[in-house]
Amino acid sequence: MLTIEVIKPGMYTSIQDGGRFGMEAYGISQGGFMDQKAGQLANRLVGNAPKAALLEITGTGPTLRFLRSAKIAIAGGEFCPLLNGEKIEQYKLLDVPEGAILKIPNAQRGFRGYLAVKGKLIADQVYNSSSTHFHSAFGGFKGRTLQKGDVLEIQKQAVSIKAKVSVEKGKPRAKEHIIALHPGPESDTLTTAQKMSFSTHQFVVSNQSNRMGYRLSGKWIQEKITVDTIISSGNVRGVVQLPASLEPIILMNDAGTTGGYPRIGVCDDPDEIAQIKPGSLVRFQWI
Amino acid sequence: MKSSPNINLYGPFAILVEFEQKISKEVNAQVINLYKGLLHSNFSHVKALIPAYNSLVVQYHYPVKMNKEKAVLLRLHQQLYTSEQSSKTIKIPVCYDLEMGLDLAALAKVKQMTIPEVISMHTAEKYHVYMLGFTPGFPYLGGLNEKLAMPRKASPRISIPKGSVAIANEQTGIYPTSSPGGWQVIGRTPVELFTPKEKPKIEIGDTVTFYAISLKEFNQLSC
Repeated sequence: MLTIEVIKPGMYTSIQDGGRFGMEAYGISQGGFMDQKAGQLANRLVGNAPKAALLEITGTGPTLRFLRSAKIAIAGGEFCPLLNGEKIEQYKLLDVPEGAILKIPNAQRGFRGYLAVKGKLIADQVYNSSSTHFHSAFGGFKGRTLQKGDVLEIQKQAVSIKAKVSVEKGKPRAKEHIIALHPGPESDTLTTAQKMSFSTHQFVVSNQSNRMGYRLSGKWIQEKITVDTIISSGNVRGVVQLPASLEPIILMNDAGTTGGYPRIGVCDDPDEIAQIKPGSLVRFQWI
Repeated sequence: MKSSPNINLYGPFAILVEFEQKISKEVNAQVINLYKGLLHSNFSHVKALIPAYNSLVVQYHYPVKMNKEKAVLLRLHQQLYTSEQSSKTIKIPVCYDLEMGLDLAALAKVKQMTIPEVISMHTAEKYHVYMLGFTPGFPYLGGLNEKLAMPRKASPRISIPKGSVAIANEQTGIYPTSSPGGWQVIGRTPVELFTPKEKPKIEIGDTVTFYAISLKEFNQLSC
């Protein structure tokens, strides 16, 4: 058994996997990697199953002590990680010697990182998923984010999955993120002119954004419009809700399964949203 | 009355099936039939299903081939339209003591009723589970006597205790875990509605009834 000790937990580090599916009808959200492509890439790099449990890192990463040697990979945003104080590369398989300290500082580019360790990360499995359901405190590591002093255990796996891995690194830093948007079920809540206005204005990603959703602020419309709520209906990852405040919310993995605000759009690639840092500027572009 | 649902793309990976825009048991029955039909069909490319009052979201593993999937959904809907619902009835004990029914006295006052009148009205009905949502295992129950209908509180409570039985407009519901919420709390049940790893007690389409218990019985049952 390989053990890893948490020296510093980071901003919001949690165990996630491909997600929890099949329980939506009971109001249980899907959870899972916020950036699915990056989570799966980290797993593939170490030879784990693509949807296996790993550590999702948010904003500022953890500092970890490896009590045994291990093979790891870090994908997602760029964090300039340090192993025993020396810079290491991301997006590749790395050897960590016994006793080494891995420090993952602030994200330099992107917002979420994925640290996979070769083997099976021991986690609380609930409804066929190890993902941490933070709000109901189940799954993952005791249903919560990591804390100082936690000890993670990884079981060695006899068989490793060999897969051809193509590495797609983060996109170059942009002044603003352009979010490609499909029409949503209630797009027609807005007139054509209002839709145009919605996509020409810039929004700021609020600091209240989290795994449930990204709240955007910005006055994109001058006129006063009232948006009616709808009969509660299912949400998908990346759906854009328009509450009465007219400030849109992009719902992400841990959002409620249903909601009553009009859904004016659906983001083409929710993985990209997961890498947007609070405080960033975003603009929508209708597809 | 037989009408085809609206079936539209909902982003690249999902379809939204919408029935008549109203809250009624008949409309909800069509949602449940299609939901159960899809569950039993066990299609490998279907990733998840989210049934609600009058709609069903079908999520797929791959970008949706609209014409093909629409035909499959319509065919299932036609086949299952009239099928009988098999559902269970769940009897939920509720302590309507004022210590637990945080808004009970205020609600009775607004409705110009006595507290026993409110309790007997709330326990008299059979409630239909339209859907579960908001938090794991939270049932949205329809069929509340309209005399008890009361809007949500102007400012939501930061924490509503676990097991709270509450009212919002013409709905009643149960908070399976403590969470923030704006519903009017009239009582509390000692029954565990949601325990991780176990199958949740209440399902969409079920019938729920409430019966009153004393504070003493509540304490006995919650041990």
